[in-house]
Amino acid sequence: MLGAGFYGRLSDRKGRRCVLRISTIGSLLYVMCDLITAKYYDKIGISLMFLGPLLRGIMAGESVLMASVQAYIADTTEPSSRYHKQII
Amino acid sequence: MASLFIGSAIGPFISSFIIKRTSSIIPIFYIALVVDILNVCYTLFVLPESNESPTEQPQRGLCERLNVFSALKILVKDRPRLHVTRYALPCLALAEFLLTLVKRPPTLLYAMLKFHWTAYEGSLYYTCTSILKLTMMIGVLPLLSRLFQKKCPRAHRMHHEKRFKNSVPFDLWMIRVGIGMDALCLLLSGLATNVVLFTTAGMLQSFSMLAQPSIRGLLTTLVNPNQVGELLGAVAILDSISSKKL
Repeated sequence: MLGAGFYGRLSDRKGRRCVLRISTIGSLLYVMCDLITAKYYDKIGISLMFLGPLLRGIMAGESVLMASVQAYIADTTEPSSRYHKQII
Repeated sequence: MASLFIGSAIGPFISSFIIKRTSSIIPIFYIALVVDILNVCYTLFVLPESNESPTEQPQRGLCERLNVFSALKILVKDRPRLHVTRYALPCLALAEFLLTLVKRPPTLLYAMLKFHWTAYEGSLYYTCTSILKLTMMIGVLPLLSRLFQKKCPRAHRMHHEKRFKNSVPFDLWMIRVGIGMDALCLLLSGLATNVVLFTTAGMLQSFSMLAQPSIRGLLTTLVNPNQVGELLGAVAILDSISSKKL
């Protein structure tokens, strides 16, 4: 919620690919935090399970990712065919 | 959206299969890591840019930058680009907000308390509804769209702008039918006194999938192409608020 407006404007300014890259890297960091916690929870505890979602949210979370994908579809389609592409 | 439902239909099945075979959840995390690495490589090296002419935006003050809700101003700032009412954007955003608010009702919890469902019935119900929603997305919706184009060719020539073949009437009807079916099926689910009626209402609720692509498509049509990112960012803010509310 905090970053959605910022990333929306960023995608108009710098392009959709920039936001998609940030979002996918954030998702990768989230999964890495979960994996490290699952493997080494007896040594490091569960602190990374809180850090992962925080990083994911800061780096364009899922709602921003969905918005960026739909903006990408809107850029590459005509309004008459946009409905079909949105479905897929 | 169909891709999302394919993932949510297949993913849990594959995960439960792997967990059963390996008796551990660690392999699932490794698979997720590999998929995410592939995703990152795809966005870094393969995906082409869609916004070929990014625009510079006017300077904004510090208060406006710090205000996370300032992005919502786009919903009321300008008149929509098509010949529709000035209130079209806020109304569509409100419809999207309310739809997201009731997207995940406590259906399974209700069924467990009222009909004494176990995890088996719950997972079966969820799998069937996901498959129906997927069928709706990739089978029924494109068919309806093509039928509309054949039956109402005049709708495509209503506007003078050549770029915009008018999909607005079709989108509006899909939104009305989708939201109407969602409301009706939620009512039926609440009033159901037996499992058959409850399950039927749940399956029919897959028709609510008609509304979402139409709302998103219509939203993007009503603003200039260089404002689409800002608009969808505003919609993402509303989605975040509504998904946390209940």
